[in-house]
Amino acid sequence: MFLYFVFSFAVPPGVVAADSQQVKKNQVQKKPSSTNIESVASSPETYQPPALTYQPEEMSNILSSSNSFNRLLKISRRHQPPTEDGIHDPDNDGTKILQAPLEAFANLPKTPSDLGNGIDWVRAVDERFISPRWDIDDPTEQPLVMDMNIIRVPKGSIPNELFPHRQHTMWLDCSNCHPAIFIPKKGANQISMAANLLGQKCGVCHGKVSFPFSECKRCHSQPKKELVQKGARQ
Amino acid sequence: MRLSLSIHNKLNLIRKIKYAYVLALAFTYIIATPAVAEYGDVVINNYAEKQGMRPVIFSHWFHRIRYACKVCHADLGFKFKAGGNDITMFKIIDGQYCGACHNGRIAWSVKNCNLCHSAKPGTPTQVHESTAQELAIPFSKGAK
Amino acid sequence: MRGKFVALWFAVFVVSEVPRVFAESQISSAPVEQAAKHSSRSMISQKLQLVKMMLATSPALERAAASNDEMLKQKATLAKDRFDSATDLFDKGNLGKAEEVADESLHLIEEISQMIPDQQQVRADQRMRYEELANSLHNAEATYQDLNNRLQANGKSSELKEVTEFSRKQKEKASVLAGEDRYSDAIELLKDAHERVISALNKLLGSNTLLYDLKFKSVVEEYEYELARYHSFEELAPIAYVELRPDKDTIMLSERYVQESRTMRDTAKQQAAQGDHQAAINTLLKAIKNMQTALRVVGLVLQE
Repeated sequence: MFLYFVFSFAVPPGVVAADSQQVKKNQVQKKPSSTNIESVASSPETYQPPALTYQPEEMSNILSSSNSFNRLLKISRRHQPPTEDGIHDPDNDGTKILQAPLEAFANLPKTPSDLGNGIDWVRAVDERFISPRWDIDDPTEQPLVMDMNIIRVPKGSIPNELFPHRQHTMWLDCSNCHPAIFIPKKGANQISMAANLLGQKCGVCHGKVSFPFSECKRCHSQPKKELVQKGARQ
Repeated sequence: MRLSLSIHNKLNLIRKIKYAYVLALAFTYIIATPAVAEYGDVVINNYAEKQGMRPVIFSHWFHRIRYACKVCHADLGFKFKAGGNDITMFKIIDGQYCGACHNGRIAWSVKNCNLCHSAKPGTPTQVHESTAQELAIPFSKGAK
Repeated sequence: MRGKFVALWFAVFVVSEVPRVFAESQISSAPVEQAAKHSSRSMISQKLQLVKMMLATSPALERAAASNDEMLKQKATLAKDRFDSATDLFDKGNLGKAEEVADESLHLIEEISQMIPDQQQVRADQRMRYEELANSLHNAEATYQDLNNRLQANGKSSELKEVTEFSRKQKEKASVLAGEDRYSDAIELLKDAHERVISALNKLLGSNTLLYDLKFKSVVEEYEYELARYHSFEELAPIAYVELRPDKDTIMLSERYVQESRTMRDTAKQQAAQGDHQAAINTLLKAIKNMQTALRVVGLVLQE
């Protein structure tokens, strides 16, 4: 019985899947599909992440998040309802009425790693689990999606980073990032992981509202063709 | 489990107590961990506490299901900074910022004070569980 | 014996967790209106304070008073009456009714605000949106033209001409409208142009991906790049101190590294001025390493 208890900790580690970069063909006037210059190492279409369902009635949500073990041996209790989440005031009458996240997340596609919200928001929109409104005045307006992939080559041995405009322009307006955060010109932006972790550049959203930086492969998904050494010169 | 004076049983008992102690210690790690709010919850405490209200909590996930980022951050003018928009009740009732929807027609109206003003007193303005916050204070209930 | 002992602890653990888990699963979504009915005394008094503040200083009410609309003025008077009666009820102890009446007053104020929006604010918002859109359109066009040059030597230039022409016309019309303060119409025109350009861009890109690589054509270029990279790290130091809140000693230690790296950067600049760019690059790399150490000291662990 004790062994059962111990083994319930040994949760299968979350498998990281690269986000699908393919554009759905149902977008009007948008380009049909976007494949990369180099053939991608992991092909998103063949890997189907398991459909995780949260079951608050069981104890699995306490123990089964794939982030269960960190070096402090504390188990993170995540996706708690407002009355128990640590920042809402449980003595407040309004708190008891607020919706618990798990209720809303029940029917949404999840990411395998459960980082951040644990929801695959892009897939949720692509596969019509949700249809978030695009314009404040016009309820029927659809996002103007620009499909432009950019591969950035960082220094060192970390794989190249693929930035997909499609997934971002389906949520954001051009002016949200350009030019305030990123200058829309090749070579004009110095982006380091340090900046990202401190809430600059990509970190303006990622690590706060969009998925955090814990999964390197989510962005650094392109294999390096050549190793970029310190003095990279043609 | 009978208490007995024999040495063998005493040793056994001591061993069991040690074992139980270790187990109890392990359990405290499980039971005593702080729960964390949902990722992306923003606490805003520019004026609320000074006026005697609880700080405000804005949940990104709830709104993300219903609206694209553009609606608030481009159409309504919200900046990407917790506490960086000078939001006051005047502006909300006037229909700016939150008040564009929280006017009783699209979403609940301002008369429901405690649905927004629902943070624990003393919570400072923050993006809860953000990377920078996690780096600053390792895994705690939030900055104090 | 041993097993029973363990089982006992396990059972204790389970029993302590089960009520919490069941409590979670039973959070119901009660209608929002119920929130107002059971507020505490302090809550209601705060609501009354809010209404009082609104009545005294709300710009919407000031606009209503200044307008010629009789209905608005009546509403404003009614709101004030409601507030007075709510205060009376509150003082007499009838909390439930006081809150209801206070809510009515709030509702009236909201209605007034919605009926007479701040024209200046609306115009300012629209103007900002127009400028943002104009900027976005400009960037999109620049990207389109630039990529057209790079990806297609000659082909599809007719499409480019068409799109550019269309966009130019729209921009002209829009600026005329903007001059007449008809910003919402101008925004619509710009949106059309924007959509056209983005569609063309998507078609042009096809399945191409842009590669922002690190190939430099000369040492000078590489030096410039490294200098910019150094600067991007240098900018982070004050941000790190604010975000990560280290103690004084840690900041002092970190500052030492920052100073060292700044000295190295100055050396690099001198070396570059003398023409030895390769040495300057090497010095800059050392400087960057020092900056990274400065950041690591305050808790920002990097992988580069």
